[in-house]
Amino acid sequence: MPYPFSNPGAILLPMDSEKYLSRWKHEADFVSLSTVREKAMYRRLRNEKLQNVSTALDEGYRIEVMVDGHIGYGCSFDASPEGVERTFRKVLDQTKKSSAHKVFTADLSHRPSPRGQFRSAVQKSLDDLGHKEIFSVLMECSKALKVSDQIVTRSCDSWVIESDMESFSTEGKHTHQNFSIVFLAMSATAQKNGEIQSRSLNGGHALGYQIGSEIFSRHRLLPQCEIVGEQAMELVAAPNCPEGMLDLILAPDQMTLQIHESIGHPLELDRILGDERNYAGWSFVKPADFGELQYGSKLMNVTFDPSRFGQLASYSFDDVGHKAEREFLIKDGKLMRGLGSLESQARSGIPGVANSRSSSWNRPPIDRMANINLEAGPNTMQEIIETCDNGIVMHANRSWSIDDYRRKFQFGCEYGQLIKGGKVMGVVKNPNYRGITVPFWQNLSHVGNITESFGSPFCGKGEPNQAIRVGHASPYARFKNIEVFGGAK
Amino acid sequence: MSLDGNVQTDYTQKLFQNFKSIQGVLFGALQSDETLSLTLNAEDTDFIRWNHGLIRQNTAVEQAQLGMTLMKGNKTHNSTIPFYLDQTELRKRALLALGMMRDQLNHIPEDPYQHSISNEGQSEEWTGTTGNVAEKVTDIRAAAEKHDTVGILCSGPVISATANSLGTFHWYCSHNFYFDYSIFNGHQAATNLYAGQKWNHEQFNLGFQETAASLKNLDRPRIDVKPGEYRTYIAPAGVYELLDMMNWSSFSHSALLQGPHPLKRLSEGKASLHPSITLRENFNLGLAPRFNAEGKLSEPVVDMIKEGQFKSLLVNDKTHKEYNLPSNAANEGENPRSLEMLGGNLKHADILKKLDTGLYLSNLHYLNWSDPESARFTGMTRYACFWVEKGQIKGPIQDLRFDESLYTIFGSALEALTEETVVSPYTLTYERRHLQGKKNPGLLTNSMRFTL
Repeated sequence: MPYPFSNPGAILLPMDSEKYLSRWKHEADFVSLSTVREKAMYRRLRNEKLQNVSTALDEGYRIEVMVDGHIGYGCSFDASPEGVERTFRKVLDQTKKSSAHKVFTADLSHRPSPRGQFRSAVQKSLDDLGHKEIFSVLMECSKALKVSDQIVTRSCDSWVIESDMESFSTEGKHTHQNFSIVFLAMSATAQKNGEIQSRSLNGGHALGYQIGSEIFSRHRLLPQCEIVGEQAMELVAAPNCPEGMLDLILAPDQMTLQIHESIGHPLELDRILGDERNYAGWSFVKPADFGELQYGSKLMNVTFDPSRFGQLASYSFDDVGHKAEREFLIKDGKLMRGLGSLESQARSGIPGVANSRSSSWNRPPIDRMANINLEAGPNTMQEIIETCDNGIVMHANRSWSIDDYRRKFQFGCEYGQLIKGGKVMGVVKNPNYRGITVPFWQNLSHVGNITESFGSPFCGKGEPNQAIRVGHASPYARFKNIEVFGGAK
Repeated sequence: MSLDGNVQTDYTQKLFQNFKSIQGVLFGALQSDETLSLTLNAEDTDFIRWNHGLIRQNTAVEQAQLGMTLMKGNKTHNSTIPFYLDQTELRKRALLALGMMRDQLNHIPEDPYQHSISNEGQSEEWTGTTGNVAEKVTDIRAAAEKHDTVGILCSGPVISATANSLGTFHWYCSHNFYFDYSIFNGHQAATNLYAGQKWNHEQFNLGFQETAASLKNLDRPRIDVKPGEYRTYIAPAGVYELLDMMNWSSFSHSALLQGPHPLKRLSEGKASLHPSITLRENFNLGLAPRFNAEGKLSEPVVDMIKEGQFKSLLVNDKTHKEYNLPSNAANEGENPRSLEMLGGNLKHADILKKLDTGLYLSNLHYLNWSDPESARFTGMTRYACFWVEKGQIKGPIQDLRFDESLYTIFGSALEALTEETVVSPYTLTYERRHLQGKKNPGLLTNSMRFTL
């Protein structure tokens, strides 16, 4: 049975956007009309039994108007001619009134007019696999996780998403982008002698890509699930993570979180401009730091890369039509560029990127991460381990917390491995570490030469709140002299 | 409450009529061995975002989603589609979705925890009054322009409704607002939330002026507090954050049975909390409808922790079926929708005196379990937090990280809960607005561990 609702146009309302824009073009300085149509299929098994199967279809549109340099938004799912007109009249009126109290005067240079398309590169269409085949893969993964009767809980889920975004403007913009996205989450919980520990495939929903049905590969997934089960069993028998100052080696699936929280968020220009101070927070980064601040060691090269094949947040244009291109945010450890849209760049005078993104049709675009990656370095994995005298490797995030200026963080991982004299000596449970952003990155001593890519479907910020998909690629990385500690027992 | 023209708008009336009419269409199309449950989540919201006392973005959002759960034999399929305003379109799309779900049932595994539906009664409630957003914006602008004010005004009706093919029908529409804001003084801030169903000019101004006046304590020189253990007062807004962290899965009975859980030791009688800790679902607060997505009505009050002792956790019908536990009509995630923590006897005027020397924390930020099995959590102080000596505020502190156990802060180290409790509607708006909230006091603890 093919994946249902395979053709968005066949079930969802069409909209003649250009007709509306030609009617409205003389009523505001600028108008754009964007539609988002998204279908998602979620499937979950627990202990080889069905937990949930659900389909979500969502569609709506966002009208953006600029009046006297102020930009406002009207969002609705009512695509009837009277509904679209009502939404436009409301946002036009609200934006006119608000323009008297605007934070900033925007102009047409902040709303480019490209014409172009983007489509996720997939090997096999998501339509190729139906319920039966996907549930069969999830069932086999669940069985592979059960390496022992002491694996008391196995959870396997898949989240398959197709998203279609089209945008027009009175200045001639027409962009059309189509995304095929899959998240997989597999986890095992072991219980033995009163101890309970969980291990998962890369932590939460980190395993997410722009990809087709090729992701449901038994050949690749089943051995990985077996390892997850075995490592859960190791954890229930493992000693607690020691407390002290050690060299910390982070696996790429934990680097995802480290990059996200301590590089991505503090570099968002809307945070630096104070928009987020009431919710997500401000930033320790000051406008004067760009081009000056030595954020990390010379090994630290961080890019905004919307062009990376298969990564979760690859695209050709942001929501306001800015062409997306790879840029260095941090080069040889020095802070070079912020994560800010054309609007934020004009407000701050700081160079930015094409990252004005909304979570869907019902939210306005704001400065977001996309793919934020630590570029590969010079070190082999063997060098990273063998030159480490007293250290710990941590894999897969399970706990995260950082202050509202993005300075003081504490992160916990699922699985730790102690390193003594250049050798892996054993597994420890409850590995945690804490630090302060800039000193932490300045202690970066080794960067691996092979990157792996992960992501998150749930990067949250904004008022009103928005959760958006982001991708992070990184190699293994080693940091000198970091405070690590374990759990209570 | 009967229909009241002052509560309804054209939009909410249309949604009500369409939700009524679509039931006839869909339930009439069911085969004899099928049952269908419906939910409606909808809103018509004006979001006005502020920075530096000015308007950053205005966004008007109208949205409505129809949830459908089809059961046939031992198969269950869930689906969500837009709840089209046009009745013809809605009928067409909903019937198409029903047909697709029916077809999908042939290709999915059996649902081992399927629970049959029943007639859970009928109710209809409309609360609040339609208000003029321009009036709120004018008031906020007048107050905010004198300060570095940042935040969001959120205003408009929110709807939650459910119905099923056996006769259940529950409708809840709340027309409400909140202005969630912070006033900054350099890098320090005081924060507040003004929420309600009818905007009151004087009440708003009074709260805003009090918040602005509290900034004067931030003008004092900053005091650097070293990591260590301190007597600590956490104001209600900070305790709200603690409870919000617990909302993730700490009150879920299925989570307790399936993995690491912070209340495991409490539930096994191996640990207890302070006798003044009482946590319960209390729908009498009027923050959320009593019915869950399946239309089942919770008891008005569900005790979870009473006087420091474990009483119960939240159980939905799926968990009831799997573990043979009595259901208390919890939602799918088994998280509280109207959580109340009872207050104590610490009077507002005595807080600084009782704290004596230690930390006064107005807000906490980004809490997370650092070791769930031992109920240890970490997080940060935020906004107006002070060092207090001999009952006097000495000055603001730098942001501090803490790492502490719930069994310490709600248990062995707890000294007092405030007499005053604060009601807070849920202000997170991921995907949509939600009808939830909490009521809780502040707390005084004789020890809290700060690590960074």
